[in-house]
Amino acid sequence: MTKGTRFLAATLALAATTTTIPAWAEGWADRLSISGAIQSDIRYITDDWRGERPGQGHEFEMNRNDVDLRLRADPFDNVQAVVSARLRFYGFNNAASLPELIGRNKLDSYELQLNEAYVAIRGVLWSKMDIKIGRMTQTWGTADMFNPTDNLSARDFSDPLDYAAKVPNQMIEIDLYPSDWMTLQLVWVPIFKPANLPPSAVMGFAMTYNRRGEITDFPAPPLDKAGQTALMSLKDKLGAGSGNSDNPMAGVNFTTPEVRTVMPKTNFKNSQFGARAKFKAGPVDFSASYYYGRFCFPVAYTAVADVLTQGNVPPPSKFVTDNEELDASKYANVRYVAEIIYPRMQVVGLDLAYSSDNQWVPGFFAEAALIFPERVDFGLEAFLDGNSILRHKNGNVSSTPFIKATAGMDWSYRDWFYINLQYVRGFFDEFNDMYGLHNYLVFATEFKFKQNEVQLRFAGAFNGDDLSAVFYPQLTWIVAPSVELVGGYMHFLGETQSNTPLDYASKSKFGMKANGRNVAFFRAKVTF
Amino acid sequence: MRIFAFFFRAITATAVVLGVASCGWTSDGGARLNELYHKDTGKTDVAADQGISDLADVLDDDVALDTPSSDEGGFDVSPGEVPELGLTGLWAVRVVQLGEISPISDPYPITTPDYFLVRIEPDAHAMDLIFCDEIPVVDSGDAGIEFTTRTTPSLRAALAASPLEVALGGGSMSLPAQKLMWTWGLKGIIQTDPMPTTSGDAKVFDQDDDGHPGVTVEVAGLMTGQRYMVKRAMWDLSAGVLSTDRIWLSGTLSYTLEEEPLGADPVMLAQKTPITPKDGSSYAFRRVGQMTCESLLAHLDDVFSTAP
Repeated sequence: MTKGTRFLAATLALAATTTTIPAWAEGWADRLSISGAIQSDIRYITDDWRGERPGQGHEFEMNRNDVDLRLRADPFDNVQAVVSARLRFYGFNNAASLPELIGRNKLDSYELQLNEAYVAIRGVLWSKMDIKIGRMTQTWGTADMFNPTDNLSARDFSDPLDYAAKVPNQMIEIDLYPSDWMTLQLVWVPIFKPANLPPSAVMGFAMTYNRRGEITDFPAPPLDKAGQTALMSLKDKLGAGSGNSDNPMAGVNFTTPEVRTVMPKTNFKNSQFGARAKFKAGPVDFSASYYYGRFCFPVAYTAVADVLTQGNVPPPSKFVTDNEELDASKYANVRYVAEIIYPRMQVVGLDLAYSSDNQWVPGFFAEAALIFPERVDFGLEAFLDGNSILRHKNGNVSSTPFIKATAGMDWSYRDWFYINLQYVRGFFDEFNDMYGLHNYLVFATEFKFKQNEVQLRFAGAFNGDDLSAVFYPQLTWIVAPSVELVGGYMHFLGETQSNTPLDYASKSKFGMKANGRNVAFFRAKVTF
Repeated sequence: MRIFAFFFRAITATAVVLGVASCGWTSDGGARLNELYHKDTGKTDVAADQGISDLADVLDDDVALDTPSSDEGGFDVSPGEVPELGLTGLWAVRVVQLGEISPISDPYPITTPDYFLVRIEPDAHAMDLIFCDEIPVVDSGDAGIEFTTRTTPSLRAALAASPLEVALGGGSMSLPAQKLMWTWGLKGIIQTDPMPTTSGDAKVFDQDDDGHPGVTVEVAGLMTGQRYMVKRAMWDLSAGVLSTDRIWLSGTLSYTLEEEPLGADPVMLAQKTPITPKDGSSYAFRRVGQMTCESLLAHLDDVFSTAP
């Protein structure tokens, strides 16, 4: 047993044995249940053009092993406690020096995630009222994955292939069941947590390089036409000064951009609150909801370009001159510091789902969120040799309310065919900023053979605005009950770089490198 | 149903309360930059000095780069086409030096604005300020006591013929902080040289070519006449801050001013009246379209009334 698993076991054991032992010690084994999964996942990058520089790729992206354990205790009939943890080993050697090879931490890096840790009490205060307190996630809405009314728990996109994951958070949930056909829910989340972004997210702010490793462009901030023209002028100015006619940017050293998050204070005003009423009327489920909080994905807030040209005395700033990547041989050194922010919002949501007993009639669902956003103005400034030469501001997010929505259907034929089609207005991370809200067609089909032993799934999404797409086929073989082997592939279609790189809105949704790499994967999973 | 009604009332009330509380939610990136980079970093003290603590105060919401109206006070100060970047173009310049002067016994506040025109060429490393005029104002606090000093046409022409060179940064991109020496009636003098006190000094020359040593200024007040003098001003300019609409380039300056009278008519006007600099001196460049010294001097209020 490794140090990590010992720790995990100890954590679970501790959670299971403390505080409640005296009251329900007798027959405790009947009141505990343990479930979990062991999963091994290996991925290989199949492209060499979606990395930071052309030519990078054709290598393993991931070699991961997860151990998931979930302990559920029912010490009393009306009390339930759940602890769910994941021990994740990354499988890559991060030891870069001899001393680091002595221990296991770098050689065999891992992390422990606590995904659930809550207690639920039924019938508290009132027989038709439950309360749930602790670390958990919430999922609202009736659409499949694309739920614009689902804002209480931030998305966890740290694994691009697992887009259903959520970031757990501490919260209090109160459920009321006044009748069979209605459920009321109130949730308070004291501390805002943002979405977990994929490793490729940094590419959204990365420089563009050619095969010689020379910079050809820099990340586009959300600027209006006047701002773009000004930034283009600055770029031309730097390029002209560098004296390299083939690639003017080659004479300029852009140090790695720094992106800072502006997080809200942890006060009551910045906590999140949600209320939802769910109804059931025959074959139709619908709900109305309200959310007060923040958008869990960031929007661009400010950007500063600090330029130091050759031969000039470094200005007494903390920008470009304090950077270790400063290259004195270049005509100019540029440091780009950007800030992102999580805008406040209120959301009024409606959703419904219809399912029919008739096997020939598909199920329908629709979900819409009217979002009242915080206005966000983007500020840009450029310093040349310590002097401010450009100051610009334009709106990034308007305060005008907007709608994100999903509508779709799903249908299955017996147990060997399933199809799901959705129209989505506004992807997970879209907030009607200068990039706008795009329109998507999302689909998933599944064929099952040999009594479900073999499953062929083909999923994808198509952006109707920029015609980019992502495809995600996978083949699953259920080797034995609860044991599955899965092979698949994720491929992005679309331009990695816009023809008008300074136009923020021109980025291809699925083509841009911030989405990640094209990968083939193989996964083995055992659940118990 | 009561719980149902209660729940909806609660949701509605919460939405209303929070909705009211959230009215006007704004995160202003421009103000944020001001807060981060224009207060305590020392890079852009000028902006702070000018009270630009909130960029939102000086920006239109969505059209920060819009060209301002050309109709100010009835005189066309339209800058014409404003380049998206850099300082290229024609500018009207005002350098305001605040100080105190004691022409008799009591010290009086004196404001000495110098006016120039300058055309900044693309990719230039320096610009030449063309002198238009200097119009000092002494505030005696008594309408009956006036002290005025005015330049003569020949002095203005002579000074305009010797432009003041000012360095530019990044090829017409910025106005860096710098020290300047500007002299009247002097040649071959450096900052550390003592000021000449006699007309026979080799550093003195008849710059306005009127037959008198140094330069001639016209003096009015308790006595009226001409003073022949030399002058050396040292300006320590802060880096220029370009306004968001790129119409104004402004900053602060500290200065020293040395004047030596070399003669006068009547002779009593040849007394030395030192000026002690006070805090608050500043400079402002305004981008203009078509302008001459004559039109600038005729419409000073129109041109500089909205100076930062």
